[in-house]
Amino acid sequence: MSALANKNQKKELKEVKKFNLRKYREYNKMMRKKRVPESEYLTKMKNPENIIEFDNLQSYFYTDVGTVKAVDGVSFDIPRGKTIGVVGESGCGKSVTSLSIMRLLQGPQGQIAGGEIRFNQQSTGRVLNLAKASIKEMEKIRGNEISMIFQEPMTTLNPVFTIGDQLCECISLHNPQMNKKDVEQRALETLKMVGIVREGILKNYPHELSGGMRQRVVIAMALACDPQLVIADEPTTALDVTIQAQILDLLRELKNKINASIMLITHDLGVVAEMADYVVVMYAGRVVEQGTADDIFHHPAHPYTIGLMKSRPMLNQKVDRLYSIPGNVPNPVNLPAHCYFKNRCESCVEACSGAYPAMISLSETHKVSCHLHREAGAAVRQAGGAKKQTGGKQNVQ
Amino acid sequence: MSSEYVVEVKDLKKYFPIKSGILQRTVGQVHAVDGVSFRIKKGQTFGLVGESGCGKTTIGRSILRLTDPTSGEVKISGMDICHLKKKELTPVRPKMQMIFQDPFSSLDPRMPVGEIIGEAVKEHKLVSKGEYKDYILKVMKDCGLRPYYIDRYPHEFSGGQRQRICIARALALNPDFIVCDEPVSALDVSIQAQIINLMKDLQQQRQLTYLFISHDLSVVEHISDVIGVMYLGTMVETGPKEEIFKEPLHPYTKALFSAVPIADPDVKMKRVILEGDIPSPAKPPKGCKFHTRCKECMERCKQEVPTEKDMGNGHVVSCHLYN
Repeated sequence: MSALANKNQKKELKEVKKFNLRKYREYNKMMRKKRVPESEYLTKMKNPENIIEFDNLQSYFYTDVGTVKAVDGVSFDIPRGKTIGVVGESGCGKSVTSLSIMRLLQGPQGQIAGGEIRFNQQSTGRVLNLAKASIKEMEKIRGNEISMIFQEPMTTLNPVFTIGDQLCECISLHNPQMNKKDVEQRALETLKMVGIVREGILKNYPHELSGGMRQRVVIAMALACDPQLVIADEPTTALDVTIQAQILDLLRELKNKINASIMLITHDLGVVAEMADYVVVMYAGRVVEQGTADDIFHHPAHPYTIGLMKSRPMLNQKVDRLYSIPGNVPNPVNLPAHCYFKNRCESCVEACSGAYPAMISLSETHKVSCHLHREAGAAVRQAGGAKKQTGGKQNVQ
Repeated sequence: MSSEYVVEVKDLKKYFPIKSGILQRTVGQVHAVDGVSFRIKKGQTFGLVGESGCGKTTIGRSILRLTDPTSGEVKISGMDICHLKKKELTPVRPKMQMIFQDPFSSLDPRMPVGEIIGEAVKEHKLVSKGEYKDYILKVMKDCGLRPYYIDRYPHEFSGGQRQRICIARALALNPDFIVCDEPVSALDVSIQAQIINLMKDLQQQRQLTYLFISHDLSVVEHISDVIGVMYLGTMVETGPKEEIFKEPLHPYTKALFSAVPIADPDVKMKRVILEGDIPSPAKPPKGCKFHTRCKECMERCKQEVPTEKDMGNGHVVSCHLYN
């Protein structure tokens, strides 16, 4: 009996390998292609006010044990000049979403399997589908129009090059017409913008700076070319609270100064509440709830969002026992057909065993993917997007 | 000495030498912990907060004699452990345990869970051979681990489960006192709550005393009875949780508390944002160590080291503002 099971398992693994190999080949072929005709990646924005629109983005990892759907059908928009916070636990696909924008997924295992990322390029007035754009096109965008602040300032900076080398490289690459002196001048200006005024900073090596300073350098690097969108992937997680306050203050100030959009990825609800205009809550590769900061924090609708908020101890609030969401995040390989949160959810209804819930609009801005709110959603549709709805039955606090 | 206090630390100092040159001469010292005193009552939790590099972890390690303190006195249940020899220390070890920060690197990947938990039990011969397995299973059950996990290896578990294994390993020796060095900072928010609840339950069941080290103020506030705030190797403020959170006195504590982001978009707090970074502990500033970043710095702060002042209710602060 077990021999048979073993045989079946082996056969399955073989199938997976074969499938993966095919995917890898396709990917390599695509990467080798030198010229991609513009018609393949030029599209139109749904709303020209947005800078990025995710439309049913699917980023998969083809591993030996099966396909990991790290991001599976994520759709949301990033409006110009706003901050959007993406919240979720580790492994929910926050970082993969941001890496997909930059096309930095580790290929050929990690690939964008479907969907569109529409980018409104201001300099040329075109709209690009970043999921299909050519590598040449991407190189012009990366670090120039879209830039990224990574989580750990210690590992982001190269220890064998000076701060000046690393900062100037990024500037001179995107502005080939500038001479060396101008580039250095620009580098110093950006460093000044993030609050580093120090003699000979350009000649310093990363290890000579403290964590907070290093993160400032990383931010300066991201801002050096006046990007339209800054992706901040857990920019303060590795830092202390006092330094975190400094960095958040800085980001807020800079956003106003250069009028960029920020996509802030974090698991800290406090940071999101403070920074974000819009919030997207992700769970196991999908968006479970999205809305304005007010929607999410005052009228959370999805049981996961509610649980997440209740499980966080708050300053100056006495609770005897913290609420804890039972269980663990599901295994990303072979996710079930029903709602991924079902096994951990306390307010399950019969419909939860059925198909994965669709996105339901609770108000113009507030959307949730949960069977509990089907009726509320239908009511909104009937009222033609009536004004503010009270989100869920339960409210935090 | 009264037995009311499980842990008593008096003027603990730990300096790390800086060596340089071919001859490895000592050219300076890092003042990691510079004269810290505190006491923890039985069954209570002492929360130690501060920025990274302020010496929180070094205190935890010195108390357990994982590093030898330079000077000072540490008493566990009335026994001075600073001057014990290695052999004399062995019987004391089970009484004090530690839970480490990172559950991914603090478990031996080549040992099954049962062995990880039971290794020290065998070493100290706490239970007879016949009872051994039942004992391990009971400890596992207390920590919310299923019995069939006993033969599994650490890589098969998630972060939260691994931290449960670490807690079980510490509890198996039936300790009085546990040093928890950032036990939840590597975990996800929803898992954090599970572990914190587990730790609180175990404390009630077994009358455990915790030294809870963390930089996350909201977690510390939730779990602790008494809080100590550290800055650059010294304790700047200690006191009962309610007192400190209601009325922080030291300028550093104020800045630290106001820096915590609050999960409510309507609350726009008045921030006290500290300028600059922590000075290097190899060259700590003269006088009050905080004076380089303090908003209310006076001439006196640059010269004199402030002494501890009791403000009532066990609320102790070292700052010239209150002297």
